[in-house]
Amino acid sequence: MTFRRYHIPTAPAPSRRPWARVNVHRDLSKCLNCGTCIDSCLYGVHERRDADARFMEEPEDHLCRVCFRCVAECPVNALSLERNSEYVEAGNGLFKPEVLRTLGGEAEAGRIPVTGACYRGPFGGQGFDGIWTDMSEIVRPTRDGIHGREYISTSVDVGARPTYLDFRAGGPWTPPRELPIPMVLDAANPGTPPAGVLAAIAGAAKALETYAIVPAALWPSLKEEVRDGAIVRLGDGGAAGFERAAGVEATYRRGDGADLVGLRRTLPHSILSLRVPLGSYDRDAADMALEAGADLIHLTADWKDVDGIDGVNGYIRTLRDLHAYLVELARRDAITVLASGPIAAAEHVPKTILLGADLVGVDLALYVVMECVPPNHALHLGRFPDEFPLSDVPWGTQRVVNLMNAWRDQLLEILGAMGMREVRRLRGDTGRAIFQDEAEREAFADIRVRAPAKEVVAR
Amino acid sequence: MITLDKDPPHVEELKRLLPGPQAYRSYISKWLVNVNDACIDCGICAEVCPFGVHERKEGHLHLAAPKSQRCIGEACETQDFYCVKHCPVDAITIQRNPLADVLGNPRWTNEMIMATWVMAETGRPPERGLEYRIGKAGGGFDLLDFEFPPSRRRFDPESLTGIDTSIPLNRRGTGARIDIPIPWYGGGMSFGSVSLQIMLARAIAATAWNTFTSTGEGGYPDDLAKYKDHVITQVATGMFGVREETVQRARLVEIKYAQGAKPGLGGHLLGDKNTPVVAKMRETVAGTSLFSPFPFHSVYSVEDHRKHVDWIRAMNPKALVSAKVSTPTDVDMVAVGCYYAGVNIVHLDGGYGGTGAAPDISKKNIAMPIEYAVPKVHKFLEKEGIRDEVVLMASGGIRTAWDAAKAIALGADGVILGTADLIAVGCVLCGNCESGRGCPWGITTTDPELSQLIPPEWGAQRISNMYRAWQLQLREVLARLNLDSVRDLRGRTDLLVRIPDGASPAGGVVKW
Repeated sequence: MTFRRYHIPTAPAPSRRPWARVNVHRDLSKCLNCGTCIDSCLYGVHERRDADARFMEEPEDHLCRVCFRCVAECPVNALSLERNSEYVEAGNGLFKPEVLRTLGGEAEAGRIPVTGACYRGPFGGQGFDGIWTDMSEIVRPTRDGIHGREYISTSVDVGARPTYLDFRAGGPWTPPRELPIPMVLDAANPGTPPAGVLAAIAGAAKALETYAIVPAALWPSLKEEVRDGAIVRLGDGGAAGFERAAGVEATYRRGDGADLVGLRRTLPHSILSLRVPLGSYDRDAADMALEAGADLIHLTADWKDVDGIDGVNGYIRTLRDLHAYLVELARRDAITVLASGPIAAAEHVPKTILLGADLVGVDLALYVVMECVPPNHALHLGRFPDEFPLSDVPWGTQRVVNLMNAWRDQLLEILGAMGMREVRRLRGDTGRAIFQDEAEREAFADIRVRAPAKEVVAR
Repeated sequence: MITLDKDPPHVEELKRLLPGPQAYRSYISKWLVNVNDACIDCGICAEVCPFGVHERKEGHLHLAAPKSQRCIGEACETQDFYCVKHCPVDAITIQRNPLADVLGNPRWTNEMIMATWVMAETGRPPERGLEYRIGKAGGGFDLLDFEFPPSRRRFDPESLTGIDTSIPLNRRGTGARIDIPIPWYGGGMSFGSVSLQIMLARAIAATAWNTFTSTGEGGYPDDLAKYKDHVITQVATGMFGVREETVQRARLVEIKYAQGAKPGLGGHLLGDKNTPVVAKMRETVAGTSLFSPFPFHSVYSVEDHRKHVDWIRAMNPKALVSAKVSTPTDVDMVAVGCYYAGVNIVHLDGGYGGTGAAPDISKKNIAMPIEYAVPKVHKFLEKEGIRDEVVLMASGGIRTAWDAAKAIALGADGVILGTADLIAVGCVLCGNCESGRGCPWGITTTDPELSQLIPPEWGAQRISNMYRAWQLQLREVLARLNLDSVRDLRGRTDLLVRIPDGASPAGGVVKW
């Protein structure tokens, strides 16, 4: 076997409707058409009219990078910037406007977002925001020895990694499949994807050498060449006819066991996944998956369940419980944990993994980068009308591929900073994370809390 | 104005308060004062306004355009001197400036930025109407406050000259004794990430205040050598432009292990900003992106670190040595290691510090904020019995004099400034430093044209004015706490209180 370095083929894929953070407002009653703003703007927001160069063209809002220089240099104070209400109101509790913008930039260029100046957001917060990953320095410069980014592995295994081979069990043992990135694309959440979206996701999964989870009802519409990269989420129709798929996924319902053992018997060599919606999770689900010899246990959440911070906190608690339980049983390597639902940004990937997942599933973020309004109105995308189909499938595929490359590169940065050489070692390693409540307790324990009655912010 | 031509004159003379006016015609102000065409130029508004918003210039028939940046807005409505009420033709309207909503963020709020500009212009904190002490990040410094003992005394900060704000930079028994009169100095910003003009401005201001600024990792431009007693030579992992003579001329040498904005990653200078002059200084090829390695590939233990400190001392036995480190969970061990390696200053750079270019993911998600690191290290050094032999400097998100005072109360000796210096010279925190021609304001750029926007003397004056305003605020804090010296504030967590959860707009502390 020859060595082949994993490579994600990125290419520019600009937005279909570029987004303006601010509205650049030109007060025509004041403007002298002097053109000072043309010289002061480095980004080409201000131009003269093509048809009549005596007058200024409407400012190109989406090019504005909010540096205020034109505003400050205008001799008559004719320019102003205002928040674009469409931008401010877009998204939901998890996908905030800045998150949407970051996703758009990642999908466009496929690169790590790099900016100047300091961090701009809130100090910490709940959910993922209350977690920092550790880094290595002087006393422990690296954990795994000297290495560059190109030697850090992002591969993960899907399926059991037995600590010894058991020949008594009978039947051939299927070795775990190796995915080059710890991410799969979940096209079955939220709801049934439109045809273009499904085709783009399936194509991207193929290009990325990972899996796409697709609803069983859409299996017939999948192209032949992408079928072996699909994990089919079963509906009521059973598993017949999906032998050529990479695997199948059954949904767990409390008390009402899906026939996982039966599925394993029908499809002995396919990936078998048990999907556990956040609301129906209990430890029995893990028992059931282990008993049937499932490869994956897929903890997922409906977008409504993780829209607010309480939902994300609940999700994190559940994921930690699942991981802890599997460790307790000493069966952690007997099954792969896939976590999807609240994954909205690159930093959620390493954080989800260090909380106990092996790999993450990306769902709603895919609609964001393909600029399509998802089913069930899961996300308000501002500038995009409900009917805005994805007609250019290769473009959508490229956007998803770009996004995954940007996320993988950012994962590499995190692993590099932590001094880790493979993402498998990050799994469940909460010791290499800083949790806000613990850090705060340690740092501020001896500082009194001010009696709340007083006026505190305004003095 | 401070001039460049002469040798650095006497410190006190340089610190004299001089105007550092905004360089541009239009201000970004909190309020917007409009005078419409109905105005009859009667001048009543100019007579009533005590802040100079309205003005009739000597010999002019018409009133000057209103200076919105001086207006106190809503707070004025109940006052006798409210111009809107006095205008006989109802020509004046005052509204919130929509621009102000676009400026700033929860950490550096718009009012904090505008207040810093006021300080840079006047040398005093703004009188009223701008909240400059505390931000809206909902944690860290923004949820800490001082609990002042009740007092009826009103302090005039200008008269508190008896309160000592100086700190020593060497607490060991050996080596040069260097005290700085204010508990802060300038952090490293490399040539390439910022312009030569900015480096000069910071160096002149540091000279005026008898404190320091740092070269950053991009080499030591010759023009800075004039101020060598106040310039720290930084030795970073990229070793760009580090030469024997630059180490030998410095009184303080900084070994940079990591940077708060990108802990665990090396420095970033993207290709666009690696112009021919920058490339020459860094001995690299122009137009290529320069990524410094992480970590020092010759340092994998405290012993290796000691070897680096010894190299510096071998080249320059008189220099004090500082180690700039980031804030992992074992930052306390790192600090102790630095002490045993022989450094004089342990410089903790927390996660929320500034940068010329860093991956967004690293600005928030790697390593802890400085507010957690300082008490952790302070307490650990105390337990080890070596707290009084090292100087602990904090940086990475020190925005105001109040942040500085809080960091000191948490256990630092002093603080190090970067972003605040830049805001003083007009930075708006737009974050477009990293690529293309760089900063549209000529700050973080080496574009030959753009960098001319900041005359070094003007920049130095602005920074110097801000330092003066900070010193006034720090003295006022100390006076209200009944302390005579900033050295007595160190580690006094008993003087701090936590603002309870939910009191801050961003929602407070995590509980899960």
